[in-house]
Amino acid sequence: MNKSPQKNIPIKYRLLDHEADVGIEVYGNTLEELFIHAAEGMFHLIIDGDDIKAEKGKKLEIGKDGELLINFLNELLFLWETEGFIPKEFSMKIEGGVLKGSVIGGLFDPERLKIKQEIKAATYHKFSLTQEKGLYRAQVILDV
Amino acid sequence: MEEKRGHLKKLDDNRYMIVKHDMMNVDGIIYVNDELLHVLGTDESIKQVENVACLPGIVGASMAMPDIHWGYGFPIGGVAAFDLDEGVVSPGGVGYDINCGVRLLKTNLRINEIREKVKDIIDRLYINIPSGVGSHRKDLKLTRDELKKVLKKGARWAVENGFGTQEDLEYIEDRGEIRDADPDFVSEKAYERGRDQLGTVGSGNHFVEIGFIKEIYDKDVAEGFGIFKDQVTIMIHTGSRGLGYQICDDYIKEMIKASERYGIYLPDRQLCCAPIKSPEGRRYLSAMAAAANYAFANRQLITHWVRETLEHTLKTGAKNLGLSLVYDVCHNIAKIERHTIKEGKKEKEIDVCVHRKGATRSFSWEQDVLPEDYRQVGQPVLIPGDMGRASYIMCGTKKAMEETFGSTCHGAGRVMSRNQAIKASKGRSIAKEMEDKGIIVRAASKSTLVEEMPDAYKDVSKVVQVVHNAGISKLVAKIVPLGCIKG
Repeated sequence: MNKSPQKNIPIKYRLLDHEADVGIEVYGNTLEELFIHAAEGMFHLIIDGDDIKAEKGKKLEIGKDGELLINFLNELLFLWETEGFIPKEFSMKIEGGVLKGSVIGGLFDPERLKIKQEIKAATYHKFSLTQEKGLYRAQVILDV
Repeated sequence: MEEKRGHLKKLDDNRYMIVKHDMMNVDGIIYVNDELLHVLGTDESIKQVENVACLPGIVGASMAMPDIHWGYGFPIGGVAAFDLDEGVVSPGGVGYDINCGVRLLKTNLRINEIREKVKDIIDRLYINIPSGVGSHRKDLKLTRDELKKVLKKGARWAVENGFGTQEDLEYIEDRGEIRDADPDFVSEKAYERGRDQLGTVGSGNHFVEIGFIKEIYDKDVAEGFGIFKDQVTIMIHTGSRGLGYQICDDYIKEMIKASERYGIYLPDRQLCCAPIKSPEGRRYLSAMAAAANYAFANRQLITHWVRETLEHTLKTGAKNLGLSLVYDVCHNIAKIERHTIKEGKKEKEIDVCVHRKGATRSFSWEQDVLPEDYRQVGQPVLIPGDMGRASYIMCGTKKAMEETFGSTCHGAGRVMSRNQAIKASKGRSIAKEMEDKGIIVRAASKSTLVEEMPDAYKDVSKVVQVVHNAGISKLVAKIVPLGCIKG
């Protein structure tokens, strides 16, 4: 899941060690790609298996109160927890600190997938998002 | 780390001080002995105690208990009290799982009466009590209006709807109902997340566990709590589930803006906060209280299903079982409480907002918020350990009132990250290892079992020894596990 880097990025994401929680370090060539890789990393921690159907669409519109990436991940956690929705393909644009677009994904099916763990939220603790030589890098600590 | 250790000063065998420096408003005090301090090593949590000391209006010291470990923002095991006029309230100082807490039930049964039936009981509990992500009871559907009542009334809502007795309410912190709760300050998203999760254990370190009293350390207090050797007990550990996580997330967003607006210096953005008396501060406290009430109701519903399960499996009536509450305590909460503090040689009473994040209230016998029969002994303090070793019943003390705003530790505290636990468990079956020890475990997820394996935690016995020796709660009894269900 995290092994197919495109263009410049060394890796899509990797897990960071944290005693009580779990951290992810994420890379992307664009801001949008960074967000998608962060979502992939987070769902890799939640779900065992990658047989996710493209059966349902969701509109995304996320504002800039706080950090956009954290709001985006927490919105996905909300959809997961209330509907069992697992994202598969994103189509989105980030402009002026606002994310607009849609996501297609599948609903959790215990026949095909297993739940690894619950993630409560993406936190601001040690959060960072930087851009260097066209490469985006972010670090997010997830409360589990 | 050397430099940070430079500010650390040993006060006595059970306490270290972080001497106030740089932006700290007060000293830090960590209740820890040399051995546990060594386990902390280069842990970030010491830095987190310092960060909390930088927040405005903090009173006394930024404190941490011996189960301290690296959290997000505040350390887990942290205690901090803030002046109502000058101080702040911080959602990160409570955590996402608002009123994650522990309830201990006692029975009339002795271990020899159920030893052969533990497996049946655990299997049955696993069926009757939803555990694991996404699991819920199909027979409990709440309308929005009903959920609103849960947020207002807490455990009382559950009792009024047939889940338990009036007597149960007497033995819950704040009688299971924090009065300032305002369901109108809870977002639609939080309602939606909380709708199907009432009466569920959840995952991670949450559990329902059967155990028995292995040892009594304080006979008089144990008697006061109705505890005796070989007695069968049930411990329930869960919180406010998705509703609490959403409320925390909603208010962190609001507090990040508020911190800027009020010009509050934040060493870590997860410490974002607002003055207690500001509109943002009041709104958060009201929404947090609503989530705390949801958690009290959650533990009350689970108690009801534990009663049903035991009556069914042991084929006996409620009277014979005598399943009743020892107590129910919050581990993640912010509370307005009156405390006596020393100013020079004088003492004065002040109201403060005490944040306990991974810490337990530890009130002494004089406190009139305790139920009548505990007014002779003190408040039961419930300290769960890992699933393989032990848990402890302690008692609140006068020294806790004097030193820690009536607070003590809450559990073992992790020592391995989840990744380390996964690596350490390669090629092992944790369930089998537990069964070999005579402990039956049912878990919805294999990875939960691995991450929660006993070696991933500090030895809780060492943690409680520190708070006992420091005098901020005293040992009453030891519980050893027989079996548990986990998420």
